[in-house]
Amino acid sequence: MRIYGLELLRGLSVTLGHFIASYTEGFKRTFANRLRGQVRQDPSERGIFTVQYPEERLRVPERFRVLPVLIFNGKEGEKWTPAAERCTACGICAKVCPPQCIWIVQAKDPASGKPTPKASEFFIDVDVCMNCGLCAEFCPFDAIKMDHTFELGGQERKVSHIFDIDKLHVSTEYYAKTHPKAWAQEEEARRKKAVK
Amino acid sequence: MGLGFLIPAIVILAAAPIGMMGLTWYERKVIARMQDRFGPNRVGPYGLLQPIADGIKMFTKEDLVPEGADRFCHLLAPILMVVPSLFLFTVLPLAPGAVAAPLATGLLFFMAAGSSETLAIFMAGWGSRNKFSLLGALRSAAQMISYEVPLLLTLAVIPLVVGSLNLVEVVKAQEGFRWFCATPWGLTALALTLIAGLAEVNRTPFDLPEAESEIVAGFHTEFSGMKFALFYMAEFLSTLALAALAAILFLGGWDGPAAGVVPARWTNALWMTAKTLGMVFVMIWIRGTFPRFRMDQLMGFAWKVMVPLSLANGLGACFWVLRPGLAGNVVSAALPLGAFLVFTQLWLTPKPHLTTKWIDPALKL
Amino acid sequence: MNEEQVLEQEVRRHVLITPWDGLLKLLDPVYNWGRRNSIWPLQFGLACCAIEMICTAASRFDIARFGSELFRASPRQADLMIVSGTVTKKMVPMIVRLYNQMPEPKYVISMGACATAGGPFKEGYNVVSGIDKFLPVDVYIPGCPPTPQALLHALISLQKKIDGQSLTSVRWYRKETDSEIPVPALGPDLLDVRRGQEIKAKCAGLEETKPAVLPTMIPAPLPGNTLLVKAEELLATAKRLKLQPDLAYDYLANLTCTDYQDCYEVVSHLYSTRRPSPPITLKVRARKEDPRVPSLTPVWPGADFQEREVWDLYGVRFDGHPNLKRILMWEGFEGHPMRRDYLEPYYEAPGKIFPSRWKEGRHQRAEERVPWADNVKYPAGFDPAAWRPSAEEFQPVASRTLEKLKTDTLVVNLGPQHPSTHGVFRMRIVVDGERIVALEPVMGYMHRNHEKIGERNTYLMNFPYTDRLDYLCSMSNNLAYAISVEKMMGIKPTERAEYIRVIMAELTRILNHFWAIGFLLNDLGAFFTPALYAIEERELILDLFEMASGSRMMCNYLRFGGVAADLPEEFLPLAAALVNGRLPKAIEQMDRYLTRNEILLNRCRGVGVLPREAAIAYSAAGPVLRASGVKYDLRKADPYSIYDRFDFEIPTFPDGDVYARYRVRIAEMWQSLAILRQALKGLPAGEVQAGKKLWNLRVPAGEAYGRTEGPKGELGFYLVSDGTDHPYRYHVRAPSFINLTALGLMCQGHLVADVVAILGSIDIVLGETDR
Repeated sequence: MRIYGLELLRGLSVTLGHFIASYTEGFKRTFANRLRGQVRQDPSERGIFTVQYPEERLRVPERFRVLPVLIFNGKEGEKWTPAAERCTACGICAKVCPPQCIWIVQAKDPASGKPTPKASEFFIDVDVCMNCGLCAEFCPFDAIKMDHTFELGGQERKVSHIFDIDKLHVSTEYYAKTHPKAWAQEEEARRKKAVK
Repeated sequence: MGLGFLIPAIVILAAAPIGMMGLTWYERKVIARMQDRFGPNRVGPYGLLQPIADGIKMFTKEDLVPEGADRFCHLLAPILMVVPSLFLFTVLPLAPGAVAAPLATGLLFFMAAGSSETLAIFMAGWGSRNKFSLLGALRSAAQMISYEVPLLLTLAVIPLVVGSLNLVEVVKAQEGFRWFCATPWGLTALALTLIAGLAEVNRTPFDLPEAESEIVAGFHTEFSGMKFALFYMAEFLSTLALAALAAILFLGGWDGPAAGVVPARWTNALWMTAKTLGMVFVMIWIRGTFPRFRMDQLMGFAWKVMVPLSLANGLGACFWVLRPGLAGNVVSAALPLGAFLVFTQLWLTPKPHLTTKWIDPALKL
Repeated sequence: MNEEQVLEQEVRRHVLITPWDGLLKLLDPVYNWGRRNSIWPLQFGLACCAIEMICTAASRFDIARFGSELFRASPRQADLMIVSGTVTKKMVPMIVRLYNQMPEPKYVISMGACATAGGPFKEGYNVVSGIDKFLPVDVYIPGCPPTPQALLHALISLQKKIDGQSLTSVRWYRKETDSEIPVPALGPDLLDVRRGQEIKAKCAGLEETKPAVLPTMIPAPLPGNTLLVKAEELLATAKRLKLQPDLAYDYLANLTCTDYQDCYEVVSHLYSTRRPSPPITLKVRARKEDPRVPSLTPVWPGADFQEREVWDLYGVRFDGHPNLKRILMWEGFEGHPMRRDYLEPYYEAPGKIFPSRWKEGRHQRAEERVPWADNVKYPAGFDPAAWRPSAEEFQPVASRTLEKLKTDTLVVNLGPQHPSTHGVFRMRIVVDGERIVALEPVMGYMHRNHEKIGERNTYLMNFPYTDRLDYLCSMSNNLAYAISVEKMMGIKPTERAEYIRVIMAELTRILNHFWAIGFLLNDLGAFFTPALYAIEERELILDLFEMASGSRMMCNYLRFGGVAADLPEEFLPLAAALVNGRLPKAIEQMDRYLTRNEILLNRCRGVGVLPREAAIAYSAAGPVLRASGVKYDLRKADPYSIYDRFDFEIPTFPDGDVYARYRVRIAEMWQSLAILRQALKGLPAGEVQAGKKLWNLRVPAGEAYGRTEGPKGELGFYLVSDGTDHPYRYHVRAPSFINLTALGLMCQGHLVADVVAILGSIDIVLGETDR
């Protein structure tokens, strides 16, 4: 014979446990030394699970991908130049992009009219991009990478959601800061290749 | 007669919305904490100004009346819902002497005012000109009516024991820590009042008529802006009033140890508030934990379990009063317990398994 | 008079400046403060972005802090519509209707690339190029999908926008604002009624266009175990295959069609649950003019929806089908879109890579390329004013059932906007009192033309698109696709990659079952608490996915011959901590909280029974099949990857009701943990990619049907290759779609309140159902 209601009480005890833990764990955390602003939760923690955006931000892993950016050799705050540009307009990223959101115009030498390995125009339609990262994965020149910036909400889209070559370029210093491991690996590979 | 009634009336009219707003805040925070999150905490310190923002927003929303709807009904329904729930507070004593209307039939008045909300719900469903709103309203009305029976039967023990329907008398009878919830019949009655009360105010696990995962219509689907705010207010006011009633009837009301520093009435009011909030906490706790009953299960529970149980409880209370002593106490404890065990088993007997008959069509080829 | 005085006089003449305006200016801060701190969203989500929206409302990101946790089901009480997911043509009339029902002041956030401008599915024939073609949008969020933190950032932007508003200048207090947006109609294509005259004028001068280049193929030589039968012999052969005891092919896994140059070929894949026999592929061909074949529903009822899909997308008629209507597109749509000669409105070239993107790639929106400036096309001579919508037909209720009921029946619509239909799914129910007499599922509201786009893509490009099929379980979808193509290419992944794949697939299974249970309880009314506990665990698993692949949901992690990148070093400690510590505790907590809960038992026992024989005949798969007592799990019955090396059990329950499906999912979570422990222990070192990673690979000509046991059931990919780098035919066997075939049977005789529970127990996802 089963007594009706015992399991209901057990369920109540589960939620009460969470309620009490949210306060006790909270007290423990205020007295412990928790890094503010670099939150990533540990699986052994109980209690409140919230990361209070925008005051606290969840740290993103290095491989986190939102929108693509073009890399040029330089420091933060500088403007890109064709000399510092890494992109050779080979077109692989445009070819491998699944929704075909990349448009590239290959630059031409103004004197002879012959095509040069530089891109004169580069467009990405952010409203078509699916953040898949294939362009960055298959670029042979480490020229296009996936960026971490996700705070992109805006009130307009017709103009601001077409990223052109100026908006897309970021410096290698920025890239090294946001992707330290990948940067170290690529620099190592570059050095090895230069030695050979 | 004078204008002596104005002061309590103004106090109630001012305090009730504030209480309701505080209650919405309290509910959101408690449920959030049970779900490992914070709840509103950006609008003012600890989110205390959140209900005010909600109020301002609802006040400024457009009032949409569906085409062809009965405008008068549509307008009147929320008002008819809120006003009785304000009436409920007139008979609830906060501290000795702090009651708006110390009626001799206080408890009866409370139940009568609470029951009249059923009419408002029906008006809301009718005035919406939406067949699903109407269905939701009818379900809600049926639920409220059928849970009033066990509620009244349960509360019948109070005049039996105390000898009066006056709520002030009820509290006085429990003074000195002789709270009724320490008796077997009182504990059962408290549990029954709580459950029936949840059904009366349409809260989980009895909130099927409002259920958002059903035919997306409760009776208040077609109401927007201030009218919806009034429905919202009525639900929370009823919850608060019911929790206060349970505290008064079974938890001793304002009874509690006094601190020497402040006047006794203030500590009494504090105790009353604390007990009410404790009962509200239990109601919110239940809301955050359980899934809801289906309509037929809900009705079945009311008629097949709660009514017999409340009758048995009444009988047990009789034994407690008329035969004080160990024998009487044991019988008065055994009766509700026995009724509970017997009737839940009967109700829980599984119905014959509905095996869907299915024959492979390939065999007929 | 000087200039200033003239100006002032003009101003005074035309603008009445009163103390009233000054007073209103004082009210502005209060008015705005109230509105911006109490934005109540509508419970409305379309696709993958809706999952991130739900995660924003969950414990980790907690939109409740901003005051927005009250997601209202009724539009009359909501302020904010977050359009989260692809807006399809079939769905957009509902969205506009919902928007019209919301009272002012109201706001719209367009979340994700799809809602903003069509997103990666923009080129599909059923996709609207952005919701701002119909609704005024306040904030746009790019991303696919935007993370919950991005959504919170957008909410803050919306709050800032509201802060800048003023009572004297807001839209809803002006007289000239339109009260309602006219609802678009579904004619031969989506009809924006505001452009009626323009459409009529343009159609008058239209000519029929024919495609310039059409890929052609004739059917390849038949691979092994294939039966090609003539249409007249089909039923007899099918009956023999199913009923003859030494054959016993009782399970129809997949049925679809391929458009060849000279015929339409309808192919079915048959398996046996009773005997470990090799599969049989049954093919029948129909001519191109007025194609007809006999229906297989008399033999395998599970062919029902699949044959309707073939009729909808290819135009092949099935004689003997009980209800041959369109299933994904709407009745009245012009054309059969999967035919090779059907060109979608934004058609550019038969296959990607589009030549317009490189060398001389100047950006041009798709809308600017086409004469309609929108993703629509109409037949020549179409007149919107003269067009009348066709009456929606409904499957007639068999008169037998209504004989003894002399009461009126009522047709009830559940969905497509519905707080608990797991996406945009609609059910038309005939109710008698409260009991259900008949139920017809209506889908297609999330039909994003996955298969048509898949034919235009190269093989590699399809990986991110498979992520978006069952958007909760992207790793499993990747796995099924990778296995199917690797079957055709004949390559094997490396050892380490195999182990990583299994780890990811089992983590996905746990994640999916947590979500399914949480939302089943949500449907039953448990106010989000079990769902939130489940989502907490899911968030921790998503941390693992984000670490390895770069994205929480759209992982795009597997490649042909391995995985995209090796595991980062933080992965294994976190995975071990989860598998050995946190997840067992969480599953145990769910068990303790829910499994014997009396209210749950009352609601779920005996509800939605699917008998054993019916489950097999209706091609049910996954937990639905195993909860009806059929011990059939592809990881053991038809092993793929390295599952044959692991020691685990297949839990089954005999009852076949909602409670049994709940128990099966809990039991499967325990088994997945067992597999994970073994896989993590046995993970070898080594490379994660067999051979070089190619982006322009060609697959040898042939066909293959690759199947895996996804968390929701059998996920299969049927691929036909013509030797190029594009698939010739790309079909997804979606478990959610086919599990719904039995929904009508399961719901008969139950109450409406049970339908929601039954649907929750099947565990569907609309991205997969509609593809």
